[in-house]
Amino acid sequence: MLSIRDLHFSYGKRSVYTGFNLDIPAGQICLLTGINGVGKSTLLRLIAGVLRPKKGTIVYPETMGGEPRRKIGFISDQLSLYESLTVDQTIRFHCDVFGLDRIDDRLIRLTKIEGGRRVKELSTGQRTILHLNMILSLDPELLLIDEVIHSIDAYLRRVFLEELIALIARKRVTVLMANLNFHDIEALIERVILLKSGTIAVDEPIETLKKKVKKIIAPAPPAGLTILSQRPFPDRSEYYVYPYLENSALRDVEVVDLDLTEIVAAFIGGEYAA
Amino acid sequence: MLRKEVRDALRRLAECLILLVAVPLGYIWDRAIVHYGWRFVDIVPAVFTATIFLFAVYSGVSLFSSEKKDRALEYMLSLPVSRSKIVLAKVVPRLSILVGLWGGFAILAGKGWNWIILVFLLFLFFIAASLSIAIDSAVIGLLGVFLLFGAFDLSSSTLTFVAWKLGLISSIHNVWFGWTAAGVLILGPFAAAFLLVIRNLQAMPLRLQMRPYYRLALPSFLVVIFLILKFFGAYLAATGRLG
Repeated sequence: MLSIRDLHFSYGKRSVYTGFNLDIPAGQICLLTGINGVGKSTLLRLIAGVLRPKKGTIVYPETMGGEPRRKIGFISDQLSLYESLTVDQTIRFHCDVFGLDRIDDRLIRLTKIEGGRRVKELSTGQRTILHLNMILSLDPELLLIDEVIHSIDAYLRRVFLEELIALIARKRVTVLMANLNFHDIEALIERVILLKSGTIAVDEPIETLKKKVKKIIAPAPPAGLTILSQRPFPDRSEYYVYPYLENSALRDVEVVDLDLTEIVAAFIGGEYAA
Repeated sequence: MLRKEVRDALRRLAECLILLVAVPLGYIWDRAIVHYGWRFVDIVPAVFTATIFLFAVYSGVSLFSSEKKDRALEYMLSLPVSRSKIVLAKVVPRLSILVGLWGGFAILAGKGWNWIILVFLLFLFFIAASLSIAIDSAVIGLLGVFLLFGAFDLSSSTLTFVAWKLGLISSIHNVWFGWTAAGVLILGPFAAAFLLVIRNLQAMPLRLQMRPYYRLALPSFLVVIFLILKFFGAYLAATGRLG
Protein backbone atom coordinates (compact mmCIF):
# COMPACT_ATOMS: atom_id res chain seq x y z
CA MET A 1 0.00 0.00 0.00
CA LEU A 2 1.31 3.44 -0.94
CA SER A 3 0.24 5.62 1.94
CA ILE A 4 0.29 9.43 2.06
CA ARG A 5 -0.44 11.04 5.40
CA ASP A 6 -0.92 14.69 6.35
CA LEU A 7 0.98 15.95 3.34
CA HIS A 8 1.87 19.63 3.32
CA PHE A 9 3.57 21.28 0.37
CA SER A 10 3.90 24.73 -1.07
CA TYR A 11 5.86 26.56 -3.74
CA GLY A 12 7.16 29.51 -1.75
CA LYS A 13 4.05 31.17 -0.33
CA ARG A 14 1.62 29.35 -2.64
CA SER A 15 0.20 26.43 -0.73
CA VAL A 16 -0.66 23.32 -2.77
CA TYR A 17 -1.39 20.68 -0.16
CA THR A 18 -2.30 21.12 3.50
CA GLY A 19 -3.03 17.87 5.25
CA PHE A 20 -3.53 15.66 2.18
CA ASN A 21 -4.17 11.94 2.69
CA LEU A 22 -4.32 9.13 0.16
CA ASP A 23 -3.95 5.35 0.17
CA ILE A 24 -3.31 3.37 -3.00
CA PRO A 25 -3.29 -0.42 -2.69
CA ALA A 26 -0.56 -2.28 -4.53
CA GLY A 27 -1.43 -3.12 -8.10
CA GLN A 28 -4.16 -0.52 -8.49
CA ILE A 29 -4.38 1.61 -11.62
CA CYS A 30 -5.48 5.11 -10.75
CA LEU A 31 -6.27 8.17 -12.77
CA LEU A 32 -5.40 11.46 -11.14
CA THR A 33 -7.28 14.37 -12.62
CA GLY A 34 -8.48 17.90 -11.96
CA ILE A 35 -8.27 21.36 -13.41
CA ASN A 36 -4.95 22.75 -14.61
CA GLY A 37 -2.78 23.87 -11.71
CA VAL A 38 -4.61 21.83 -9.06
CA GLY A 39 -1.50 19.89 -8.07
CA LYS A 40 -1.58 16.65 -10.07
CA SER A 41 2.01 16.93 -11.27
CA THR A 42 3.11 18.14 -7.84
CA LEU A 43 1.63 15.04 -6.20
CA LEU A 44 3.38 12.76 -8.67
CA ARG A 45 6.67 14.57 -8.06
CA LEU A 46 6.24 14.26 -4.31
CA ILE A 47 5.66 10.53 -4.62
CA ALA A 48 8.64 10.22 -7.01
CA GLY A 49 10.86 11.96 -4.47
CA VAL A 50 11.89 14.88 -6.65
CA LEU A 51 9.95 17.21 -4.36
CA ARG A 52 10.01 16.98 -0.59
CA PRO A 53 6.95 17.65 1.55
CA LYS A 54 7.17 20.34 4.20
CA LYS A 55 5.30 18.04 6.51
CA GLY A 56 3.72 14.62 6.36
CA THR A 57 4.85 11.20 5.23
CA ILE A 58 4.80 9.09 2.12
CA VAL A 59 5.12 5.42 2.97
CA TYR A 60 5.95 3.04 0.17
CA PRO A 61 5.14 -0.69 0.08
CA GLU A 62 7.77 -2.80 1.83
CA THR A 63 8.44 -4.67 -1.41
CA MET A 64 10.04 -1.51 -2.79
CA GLY A 65 12.89 -1.82 -0.32
CA GLY A 66 14.95 0.87 1.38
CA GLU A 67 15.42 3.00 -1.75
CA PRO A 68 11.95 3.24 -3.36
CA ARG A 69 13.24 5.32 -6.30
CA ARG A 70 14.91 2.17 -7.59
CA LYS A 71 11.45 0.73 -8.16
CA ILE A 72 9.66 3.87 -9.32
CA GLY A 73 9.24 4.62 -12.99
CA PHE A 74 8.56 8.36 -13.18
CA ILE A 75 8.02 10.40 -16.28
CA SER A 76 6.94 13.98 -15.91
CA ASP A 77 5.54 16.51 -18.34
CA GLN A 78 8.97 18.20 -18.26
CA LEU A 79 10.55 15.11 -19.89
CA SER A 80 13.65 15.92 -17.92
CA LEU A 81 16.82 14.27 -19.27
CA TYR A 82 20.40 15.39 -19.86
CA GLU A 83 19.81 17.14 -23.17
CA SER A 84 23.44 17.31 -24.21
CA LEU A 85 23.85 13.53 -24.00
CA THR A 86 23.12 11.34 -26.99
CA VAL A 87 20.39 8.70 -26.90
CA ASP A 88 22.99 5.93 -26.46
CA GLN A 89 24.76 7.86 -23.70
CA THR A 90 21.44 8.49 -21.96
CA ILE A 91 20.56 4.80 -22.01
CA ARG A 92 24.06 3.85 -20.79
CA PHE A 93 23.83 6.42 -18.01
CA HIS A 94 20.41 5.10 -16.99
CA CYS A 95 21.66 1.50 -16.99
CA ASP A 96 24.71 2.48 -14.91
CA VAL A 97 22.64 4.18 -12.25
CA PHE A 98 20.03 1.42 -12.05
CA GLY A 99 22.53 -1.42 -12.32
CA LEU A 100 21.16 -2.81 -15.58
CA ASP A 101 23.26 -4.49 -18.27
CA ARG A 102 21.00 -3.25 -21.02
CA ILE A 103 17.43 -2.19 -21.61
CA ASP A 104 14.77 -3.61 -23.91
CA ASP A 105 14.74 -0.83 -26.48
CA ARG A 106 11.84 -2.09 -28.58
CA LEU A 107 9.96 1.19 -28.43
CA ILE A 108 13.06 3.19 -29.38
CA ARG A 109 13.82 0.91 -32.33
CA LEU A 110 10.20 1.17 -33.50
CA THR A 111 10.51 4.95 -33.74
CA LYS A 112 13.91 4.60 -35.48
CA ILE A 113 15.53 7.13 -33.14
CA GLU A 114 19.25 7.14 -33.93
CA GLY A 115 21.52 6.41 -31.01
CA GLY A 116 23.93 9.18 -31.91
CA ARG A 117 21.39 11.98 -31.80
CA ARG A 118 21.42 14.33 -28.82
CA VAL A 119 18.34 14.36 -26.64
CA LYS A 120 17.82 18.08 -27.31
CA GLU A 121 17.48 17.29 -31.02
CA LEU A 122 14.60 14.87 -30.46
CA SER A 123 10.97 15.86 -30.86
CA THR A 124 8.68 15.81 -27.82
CA GLY A 125 7.18 12.52 -28.95
CA GLN A 126 10.59 10.93 -29.43
CA ARG A 127 11.76 12.10 -26.01
CA THR A 128 8.60 10.67 -24.52
CA ILE A 129 9.24 7.30 -26.15
CA LEU A 130 12.87 7.29 -24.99
CA HIS A 131 11.85 8.10 -21.46
CA LEU A 132 8.96 5.63 -21.43
CA ASN A 133 11.19 2.87 -22.78
CA MET A 134 13.77 3.55 -20.07
CA ILE A 135 11.30 3.50 -17.19
CA LEU A 136 9.47 0.40 -18.43
CA SER A 137 12.79 -1.42 -18.63
CA LEU A 138 13.27 -0.93 -14.90
CA ASP A 139 10.41 -3.36 -14.27
CA PRO A 140 8.99 -0.84 -11.81
CA GLU A 141 6.57 -1.54 -9.00
CA LEU A 142 5.20 1.98 -9.10
CA LEU A 143 4.61 3.87 -12.32
CA LEU A 144 3.99 7.60 -12.20
CA ILE A 145 3.05 9.05 -15.57
CA ASP A 146 2.30 12.72 -15.95
CA GLU A 147 0.32 13.89 -18.99
CA VAL A 148 2.78 12.70 -21.62
CA ILE A 149 0.81 10.06 -23.44
CA HIS A 150 -0.99 12.57 -25.63
CA SER A 151 2.33 13.84 -27.00
CA ILE A 152 3.04 10.63 -28.90
CA ASP A 153 1.29 9.59 -32.09
CA ALA A 154 -1.69 7.24 -32.09
CA TYR A 155 0.26 4.19 -33.21
CA LEU A 156 3.01 4.58 -30.60
CA ARG A 157 0.42 5.38 -27.99
CA ARG A 158 -1.16 2.02 -28.71
CA VAL A 159 2.22 0.28 -28.58
CA PHE A 160 3.03 1.94 -25.26
CA LEU A 161 -0.34 0.93 -23.81
CA GLU A 162 0.25 -2.64 -24.94
CA GLU A 163 3.62 -2.60 -23.14
CA LEU A 164 1.91 -1.18 -20.08
CA ILE A 165 -0.79 -3.84 -20.17
CA ALA A 166 1.86 -6.55 -20.52
CA LEU A 167 3.71 -5.10 -17.52
CA ILE A 168 0.51 -5.01 -15.46
CA ALA A 169 -0.25 -8.60 -16.42
CA ARG A 170 3.28 -9.70 -15.51
CA LYS A 171 3.44 -8.11 -12.07
CA ARG A 172 1.32 -6.16 -9.62
CA VAL A 173 2.46 -2.73 -10.66
CA THR A 174 0.74 0.27 -9.15
CA VAL A 175 0.05 2.96 -11.72
CA LEU A 176 -0.82 6.55 -11.03
CA MET A 177 -1.49 8.56 -14.14
CA ALA A 178 -2.22 12.25 -14.38
CA ASN A 179 -4.02 12.69 -17.62
CA LEU A 180 -6.43 14.97 -19.36
CA ASN A 181 -7.11 12.68 -22.28
CA PHE A 182 -8.77 9.45 -21.20
CA HIS A 183 -9.98 7.87 -24.35
CA ASP A 184 -7.03 5.52 -24.77
CA ILE A 185 -6.61 4.57 -21.14
CA GLU A 186 -10.19 4.29 -19.93
CA ALA A 187 -10.18 0.52 -20.20
CA LEU A 188 -7.14 0.32 -17.91
CA ILE A 189 -8.34 2.63 -15.15
CA GLU A 190 -9.72 1.12 -11.95
CA ARG A 191 -10.04 4.19 -9.79
CA VAL A 192 -10.55 7.90 -10.44
CA ILE A 193 -9.20 10.53 -8.07
CA LEU A 194 -10.29 14.09 -8.74
CA LEU A 195 -8.32 16.79 -6.98
CA LYS A 196 -9.72 20.13 -6.00
CA SER A 197 -7.98 22.87 -3.99
CA GLY A 198 -5.43 20.50 -2.53
CA THR A 199 -7.95 17.90 -1.42
CA ILE A 200 -9.71 14.91 -2.94
CA ALA A 201 -13.09 15.95 -4.32
CA VAL A 202 -13.96 12.58 -5.81
CA ASP A 203 -12.41 9.18 -5.19
CA GLU A 204 -14.39 6.35 -6.72
CA PRO A 205 -13.90 3.11 -8.60
CA ILE A 206 -14.54 3.87 -12.24
CA GLU A 207 -17.60 1.64 -12.58
CA THR A 208 -19.22 3.23 -9.53
CA LEU A 209 -18.44 6.68 -10.88
CA LYS A 210 -20.08 5.84 -14.19
CA LYS A 211 -23.22 4.83 -12.32
CA LYS A 212 -23.20 7.95 -10.17
CA VAL A 213 -22.51 10.62 -12.79
CA LYS A 214 -25.19 11.06 -15.42
CA LYS A 215 -26.26 13.61 -17.94
CA ILE A 216 -29.89 14.56 -17.57
CA ILE A 217 -31.54 16.29 -20.50
CA ALA A 218 -34.52 18.17 -19.15
CA PRO A 219 -36.39 21.45 -19.54
CA ALA A 220 -35.53 22.45 -15.97
CA PRO A 221 -32.92 21.53 -13.39
CA PRO A 222 -33.76 18.13 -11.89
CA ALA A 223 -34.95 18.51 -8.33
CA GLY A 224 -33.16 16.74 -5.53
CA LEU A 225 -29.95 16.12 -7.46
CA THR A 226 -26.64 17.91 -7.16
CA ILE A 227 -25.73 19.56 -10.44
CA LEU A 228 -22.05 19.62 -11.27
CA SER A 229 -22.36 21.65 -14.42
CA GLN A 230 -24.86 22.41 -17.08
CA ARG A 231 -25.14 23.34 -20.72
CA PRO A 232 -28.20 25.45 -21.43
CA PHE A 233 -30.14 25.10 -24.69
CA PRO A 234 -33.31 26.90 -25.79
CA ASP A 235 -35.77 24.07 -25.09
CA ARG A 236 -34.00 21.43 -23.03
CA SER A 237 -30.70 21.83 -21.17
CA GLU A 238 -28.10 19.25 -20.22
CA TYR A 239 -27.46 18.82 -16.53
CA TYR A 240 -24.53 16.79 -15.25
CA VAL A 241 -25.42 15.38 -11.86
CA TYR A 242 -23.51 13.63 -9.12
CA PRO A 243 -24.49 11.48 -7.39
CA TYR A 244 -27.32 10.24 -9.56
CA LEU A 245 -29.92 8.41 -7.53
CA GLU A 246 -31.60 5.54 -9.34
CA ASN A 247 -34.93 6.05 -7.64
CA SER A 248 -35.15 9.81 -8.27
CA ALA A 249 -38.65 10.86 -9.20
CA LEU A 250 -37.78 12.46 -12.52
CA ARG A 251 -40.37 12.98 -15.24
CA ASP A 252 -39.98 14.02 -18.85
CA VAL A 253 -36.20 13.68 -18.74
CA GLU A 254 -33.63 11.70 -20.61
CA VAL A 255 -30.86 10.10 -18.54
CA VAL A 256 -27.65 9.51 -20.48
CA ASP A 257 -24.65 7.41 -19.47
CA LEU A 258 -21.28 9.13 -19.76
CA ASP A 259 -17.81 7.97 -20.61
CA LEU A 260 -14.84 8.94 -18.45
CA THR A 261 -13.93 11.99 -20.52
CA GLU A 262 -17.41 13.43 -20.18
CA ILE A 263 -17.52 12.61 -16.45
CA VAL A 264 -14.27 14.42 -15.73
CA ALA A 265 -15.29 17.32 -17.99
CA ALA A 266 -18.50 17.64 -15.97
CA PHE A 267 -16.57 17.93 -12.70
CA ILE A 268 -14.00 20.30 -14.11
CA GLY A 269 -16.65 22.38 -15.90
CA GLY A 270 -18.41 22.83 -12.59
CA GLU A 271 -15.22 24.13 -11.00
CA TYR A 272 -14.63 26.67 -13.74
CA ALA A 273 -18.26 27.81 -13.52
CA ALA A 274 -18.14 28.24 -9.74
CA MET B 1 26.97 8.74 -12.88
CA LEU B 2 30.68 9.00 -12.10
CA ARG B 3 31.53 8.48 -15.76
CA LYS B 4 29.31 11.39 -16.79
CA GLU B 5 30.81 13.62 -14.09
CA VAL B 6 34.36 12.74 -15.16
CA ARG B 7 33.38 13.67 -18.71
CA ASP B 8 31.89 16.97 -17.45
CA ALA B 9 35.03 17.74 -15.43
CA LEU B 10 37.26 17.07 -18.44
CA ARG B 11 35.05 19.32 -20.54
CA ARG B 12 35.52 22.12 -18.00
CA LEU B 13 39.28 21.50 -18.14
CA ALA B 14 39.24 21.74 -21.93
CA GLU B 15 37.39 25.05 -21.68
CA CYS B 16 40.04 26.34 -19.27
CA LEU B 17 42.91 25.11 -21.44
CA ILE B 18 41.78 27.61 -24.06
CA LEU B 19 43.71 30.05 -21.87
CA LEU B 20 46.91 28.39 -23.12
CA VAL B 21 46.42 30.31 -26.34
CA ALA B 22 47.86 33.17 -24.28
CA VAL B 23 51.27 31.52 -24.58
CA PRO B 24 51.86 32.12 -28.30
CA LEU B 25 49.89 35.37 -28.11
CA GLY B 26 52.07 36.58 -25.25
CA TYR B 27 55.21 35.63 -27.11
CA ILE B 28 54.09 37.44 -30.25
CA TRP B 29 52.97 40.45 -28.19
CA ASP B 30 56.38 40.64 -26.54
CA ARG B 31 58.23 40.29 -29.83
CA ALA B 32 56.07 42.84 -31.64
CA ILE B 33 55.20 45.42 -28.99
CA VAL B 34 56.66 45.43 -25.49
CA HIS B 35 60.08 43.81 -26.05
CA TYR B 36 60.57 42.51 -22.51
CA GLY B 37 62.62 39.64 -23.87
CA TRP B 38 60.26 36.91 -22.78
CA ARG B 39 60.98 33.36 -23.76
CA PHE B 40 58.46 30.57 -24.06
CA VAL B 41 59.79 29.02 -20.89
CA ASP B 42 59.00 32.28 -19.09
CA ILE B 43 55.42 32.49 -20.38
CA VAL B 44 54.30 28.86 -20.13
CA PRO B 45 54.54 28.46 -16.33
CA ALA B 46 52.66 31.72 -15.69
CA VAL B 47 49.87 30.89 -18.11
CA PHE B 48 49.64 27.31 -16.91
CA THR B 49 49.43 28.44 -13.30
CA ALA B 50 46.65 30.85 -14.24
CA THR B 51 44.89 27.99 -16.03
CA ILE B 52 45.03 25.81 -12.96
CA PHE B 53 43.66 28.60 -10.77
CA LEU B 54 40.92 29.25 -13.32
CA PHE B 55 40.04 25.54 -13.37
CA ALA B 56 39.83 25.49 -9.56
CA VAL B 57 37.24 28.27 -9.62
CA TYR B 58 35.42 27.33 -12.83
CA SER B 59 35.02 23.64 -12.01
CA GLY B 60 33.59 24.58 -8.60
CA VAL B 61 31.18 27.17 -9.92
CA SER B 62 29.96 24.82 -12.66
CA LEU B 63 29.22 21.92 -10.32
CA PHE B 64 25.53 21.88 -11.28
CA SER B 65 25.76 23.59 -14.66
CA SER B 66 24.87 20.47 -16.67
CA GLU B 67 21.69 19.96 -14.65
CA LYS B 68 20.74 23.63 -15.04
CA LYS B 69 21.69 23.92 -18.72
CA ASP B 70 20.21 20.55 -19.71
CA ARG B 71 17.09 20.98 -17.56
CA ALA B 72 17.97 17.68 -15.95
CA LEU B 73 17.58 18.58 -12.29
CA GLU B 74 14.30 16.70 -11.99
CA TYR B 75 15.74 13.64 -13.72
CA MET B 76 18.82 13.70 -11.48
CA LEU B 77 16.65 13.85 -8.36
CA SER B 78 14.46 10.97 -9.58
CA LEU B 79 17.47 8.63 -9.66
CA PRO B 80 18.06 6.23 -6.75
CA VAL B 81 21.15 8.14 -5.63
CA SER B 82 21.28 10.18 -2.45
CA ARG B 83 21.95 13.89 -2.71
CA SER B 84 25.23 13.52 -0.84
CA LYS B 85 26.42 10.85 -3.31
CA ILE B 86 25.47 13.13 -6.18
CA VAL B 87 27.66 15.89 -4.74
CA LEU B 88 30.47 13.41 -4.09
CA ALA B 89 30.26 12.11 -7.67
CA LYS B 90 30.62 15.69 -8.86
CA VAL B 91 33.36 16.83 -6.49
CA VAL B 92 35.71 13.83 -6.64
CA PRO B 93 36.55 13.96 -10.39
CA ARG B 94 37.03 17.73 -10.29
CA LEU B 95 39.27 17.61 -7.24
CA SER B 96 41.25 14.70 -8.71
CA ILE B 97 41.91 16.62 -11.90
CA LEU B 98 42.85 19.74 -9.93
CA VAL B 99 45.31 17.91 -7.71
CA GLY B 100 46.66 15.99 -10.69
CA LEU B 101 47.13 19.20 -12.68
CA TRP B 102 48.99 20.93 -9.88
CA GLY B 103 51.08 17.86 -9.14
CA GLY B 104 51.94 17.36 -12.80
CA PHE B 105 52.88 20.99 -13.17
CA ALA B 106 54.97 20.93 -10.00
CA ILE B 107 56.89 17.91 -11.26
CA LEU B 108 57.38 19.15 -14.84
CA ALA B 109 58.42 22.61 -13.69
CA GLY B 110 60.80 21.12 -11.13
CA LYS B 111 59.33 23.37 -8.44
CA GLY B 112 58.50 20.70 -5.91
CA TRP B 113 55.17 20.08 -4.23
CA ASN B 114 53.90 23.34 -2.70
CA TRP B 115 51.30 22.42 -0.09
CA ILE B 116 50.27 25.98 0.60
CA ILE B 117 49.32 26.64 -2.99
CA LEU B 118 47.49 23.33 -3.20
CA VAL B 119 45.49 24.21 -0.08
CA PHE B 120 44.76 27.59 -1.62
CA LEU B 121 43.54 25.92 -4.84
CA LEU B 122 41.27 23.65 -2.83
CA PHE B 123 40.06 26.65 -0.86
CA LEU B 124 39.14 28.44 -4.10
CA PHE B 125 37.37 25.32 -5.38
CA PHE B 126 35.24 25.03 -2.26
CA ILE B 127 34.32 28.71 -2.25
CA ALA B 128 33.25 28.32 -5.87
CA ALA B 129 31.34 25.11 -5.11
CA SER B 130 29.45 26.82 -2.29
CA LEU B 131 28.19 29.35 -4.85
CA SER B 132 27.45 26.82 -7.59
CA ILE B 133 23.85 26.06 -6.72
CA ALA B 134 22.92 29.69 -6.11
CA ILE B 135 24.36 31.19 -9.29
CA ASP B 136 23.38 30.42 -12.88
CA SER B 137 26.11 32.16 -14.82
CA ALA B 138 29.73 31.00 -14.71
CA VAL B 139 30.93 34.59 -15.21
CA ILE B 140 28.93 35.82 -12.22
CA GLY B 141 30.14 32.81 -10.30
CA LEU B 142 33.76 33.73 -11.06
CA LEU B 143 33.12 37.31 -9.97
CA GLY B 144 31.41 35.99 -6.85
CA VAL B 145 34.43 33.89 -5.97
CA PHE B 146 36.78 36.82 -6.40
CA LEU B 147 34.45 38.98 -4.29
CA LEU B 148 34.31 36.37 -1.55
CA PHE B 149 38.04 35.86 -1.68
CA GLY B 150 38.61 39.59 -1.50
CA ALA B 151 36.26 39.82 1.48
CA PHE B 152 38.07 36.90 3.10
CA ASP B 153 41.43 38.57 2.63
CA LEU B 154 40.36 41.96 3.97
CA SER B 155 38.28 40.52 6.80
CA SER B 156 41.10 38.28 8.04
CA SER B 157 43.21 41.38 8.68
CA THR B 158 40.25 43.34 10.06
CA LEU B 159 39.19 40.61 12.45
CA THR B 160 42.77 40.18 13.65
CA PHE B 161 42.89 43.91 14.36
CA VAL B 162 39.53 43.87 16.22
CA ALA B 163 40.59 40.87 18.30
CA TRP B 164 43.95 42.53 19.08
CA LYS B 165 42.19 45.73 20.11
CA LEU B 166 39.87 43.74 22.39
CA GLY B 167 42.88 42.03 23.93
CA LEU B 168 41.88 38.58 22.69
CA ILE B 169 45.19 38.05 20.91
CA SER B 170 48.63 39.44 21.65
CA SER B 171 49.82 40.22 18.14
CA ILE B 172 48.19 42.22 15.38
CA HIS B 173 50.08 40.03 12.91
CA ASN B 174 48.44 36.76 14.00
CA VAL B 175 47.67 35.49 10.52
CA TRP B 176 46.26 32.14 11.64
CA PHE B 177 43.68 33.82 13.86
CA GLY B 178 42.63 36.08 11.00
CA TRP B 179 42.25 33.24 8.53
CA THR B 180 40.32 31.14 11.03
CA ALA B 181 37.99 33.98 12.02
CA ALA B 182 37.39 34.94 8.38
CA GLY B 183 36.82 31.31 7.52
CA VAL B 184 34.21 30.98 10.25
CA LEU B 185 32.45 34.24 9.43
CA ILE B 186 32.43 34.04 5.64
CA LEU B 187 33.13 30.59 4.35
CA GLY B 188 31.36 28.73 7.13
CA PRO B 189 27.93 30.26 6.46
CA PHE B 190 28.31 29.86 2.68
CA ALA B 191 29.35 26.22 3.06
CA ALA B 192 26.52 25.63 5.53
CA ALA B 193 24.01 27.26 3.19
CA PHE B 194 25.26 25.12 0.29
CA LEU B 195 24.95 21.91 2.31
CA LEU B 196 21.47 22.83 3.54
CA VAL B 197 20.26 23.59 0.02
CA ILE B 198 21.77 20.37 -1.34
CA ARG B 199 20.28 18.30 1.47
CA ASN B 200 16.82 19.58 0.59
CA LEU B 201 17.34 20.02 -3.14
CA GLN B 202 14.08 19.67 -5.05
CA ALA B 203 12.81 19.89 -8.60
CA MET B 204 11.38 23.37 -8.24
CA PRO B 205 12.76 26.80 -9.21
CA LEU B 206 16.09 27.23 -7.46
CA ARG B 207 15.23 30.78 -6.39
CA LEU B 208 12.60 29.22 -4.07
CA GLN B 209 15.27 27.07 -2.42
CA MET B 210 17.85 29.73 -1.60
CA ARG B 211 16.53 30.58 1.86
CA PRO B 212 19.65 29.23 3.63
CA TYR B 213 21.76 31.69 1.62
CA TYR B 214 19.50 34.61 2.59
CA ARG B 215 19.35 33.59 6.24
CA LEU B 216 22.90 32.36 6.85
CA ALA B 217 25.36 33.53 4.25
CA LEU B 218 24.08 36.98 3.36
CA PRO B 219 23.73 38.37 6.93
CA SER B 220 27.16 37.05 7.86
CA PHE B 221 28.66 38.56 4.71
CA LEU B 222 27.03 41.93 5.46
CA VAL B 223 28.44 41.88 9.01
CA VAL B 224 31.89 41.25 7.57
CA ILE B 225 31.53 44.10 5.07
CA PHE B 226 30.46 46.38 7.90
CA LEU B 227 33.48 45.39 9.99
CA ILE B 228 35.81 45.95 7.03
CA LEU B 229 34.36 49.40 6.33
CA LYS B 230 34.57 50.34 10.00
CA PHE B 231 37.94 48.94 11.03
CA PHE B 232 40.14 48.17 8.02
CA GLY B 233 41.36 51.75 7.85
CA ALA B 234 42.32 51.60 11.51
CA TYR B 235 44.13 48.30 10.89
CA LEU B 236 46.19 49.90 8.10
CA ALA B 237 47.04 52.82 10.36
CA ALA B 238 48.01 50.54 13.23
CA THR B 239 50.32 48.50 11.01
CA GLY B 240 51.83 51.60 9.43
CA ARG B 241 50.50 50.81 5.97
CA LEU B 242 48.34 53.91 5.69
CA GLY B 243 49.79 56.89 3.89
